[in-house]
Amino acid sequence: MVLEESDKELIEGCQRGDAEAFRAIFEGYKDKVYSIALRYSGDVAVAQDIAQETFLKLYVGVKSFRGEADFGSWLYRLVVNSCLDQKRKTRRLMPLLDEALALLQAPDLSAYDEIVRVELRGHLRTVVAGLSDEQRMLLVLRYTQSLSYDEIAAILGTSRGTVASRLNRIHRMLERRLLRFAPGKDGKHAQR
Amino acid sequence: MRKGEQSGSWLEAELARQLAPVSAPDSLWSRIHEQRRPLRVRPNPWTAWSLAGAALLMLLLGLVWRLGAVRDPSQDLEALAGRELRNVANGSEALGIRSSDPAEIQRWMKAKLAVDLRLADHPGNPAVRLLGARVLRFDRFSAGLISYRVGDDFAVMLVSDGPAAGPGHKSPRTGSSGDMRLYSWNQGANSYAMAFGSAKESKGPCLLCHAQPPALMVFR
Repeated sequence: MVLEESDKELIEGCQRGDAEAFRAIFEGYKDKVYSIALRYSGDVAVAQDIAQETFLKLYVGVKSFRGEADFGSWLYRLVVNSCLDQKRKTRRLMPLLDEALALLQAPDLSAYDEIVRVELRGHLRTVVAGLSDEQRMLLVLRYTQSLSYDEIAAILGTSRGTVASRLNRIHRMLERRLLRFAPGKDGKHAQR
Repeated sequence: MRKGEQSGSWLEAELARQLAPVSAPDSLWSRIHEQRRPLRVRPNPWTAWSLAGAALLMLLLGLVWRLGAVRDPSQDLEALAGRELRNVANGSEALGIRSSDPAEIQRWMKAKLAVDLRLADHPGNPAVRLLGARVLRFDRFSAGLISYRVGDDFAVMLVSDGPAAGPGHKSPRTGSSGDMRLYSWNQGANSYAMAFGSAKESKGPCLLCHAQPPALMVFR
């Protein structure tokens, strides 16, 4: 998230208690906030709770936001903290992998490939669900928001190197556990 | 993603596909809007703790004062003796018994207040002249009053009927208050106070009970 000049005005308006400014910020960031919440929690109701809590935190805490920090990183931190707080409240959370998108299969996929993809989706879901909270949040920030290592590091308060090494470790673990679903050179799945 | 951060693997593509962003539901705004309230100014927690501490301190001080009043009523008893002395001096004291006989006053006090007094044999102390006695009753205790004269000065002695009125000190203490002398002490389960119509330090009032007056501690 990049703080644009219009955002600065909205934030200042929000800090003054301007309801319209708050609504505008909500409209600008609601999809990002909700996406992180949903991909992290895997539950629509929980995701709405997290998003709601995040925006309420923003409403209360925006007065303390100083322009020196990046607003996007600040808001992402609110989401991340809300996710982790929610996790403590509700222990059963499964990342919701986008089944709708998974159903969109390429026209040339064979019935066999379709079966493999469905199976991959199930396995991936299980494996990701078994990750720690921090590992799963790394994946969400990386793949839901397409954030760079630097951006993720700024949000999580760590170094770029740490983010890179942790993601690399997650990738290797996932590849090892899902190796049999890796496509062949022809792009088609071949279970091994 | 920056160049170099992409491994280009099938796994990343799959993750990106399955963790793709979504749109927030329209109901989200109404949920937030309903919960949003004007910012509330929270009281400074240190202020709250200070107020609580001050309230607790006042409570403790009140308790200490209350306990002190119960545990060390010598000031009350002394003040009472001073008041009664003025009544005696101006002739407004209503005595329960008028007698100059120490044995009779002892019996009367025993009967009325269940207090054993050992009054001195005044024929041996011609300076002391008994006038009489009465009983004063209060919420916390009762006290027997003996009115007498030492030389030309009036004196009263008060004795409480139990430990509830007992002062903290056993040795007699004395001090002046205006134109009178006050004394207080504790003995057994009873507390005592005397008031004497002369501000000068004197052991004269002690002759009521003692042929040889005890040593006194000056407290004022």
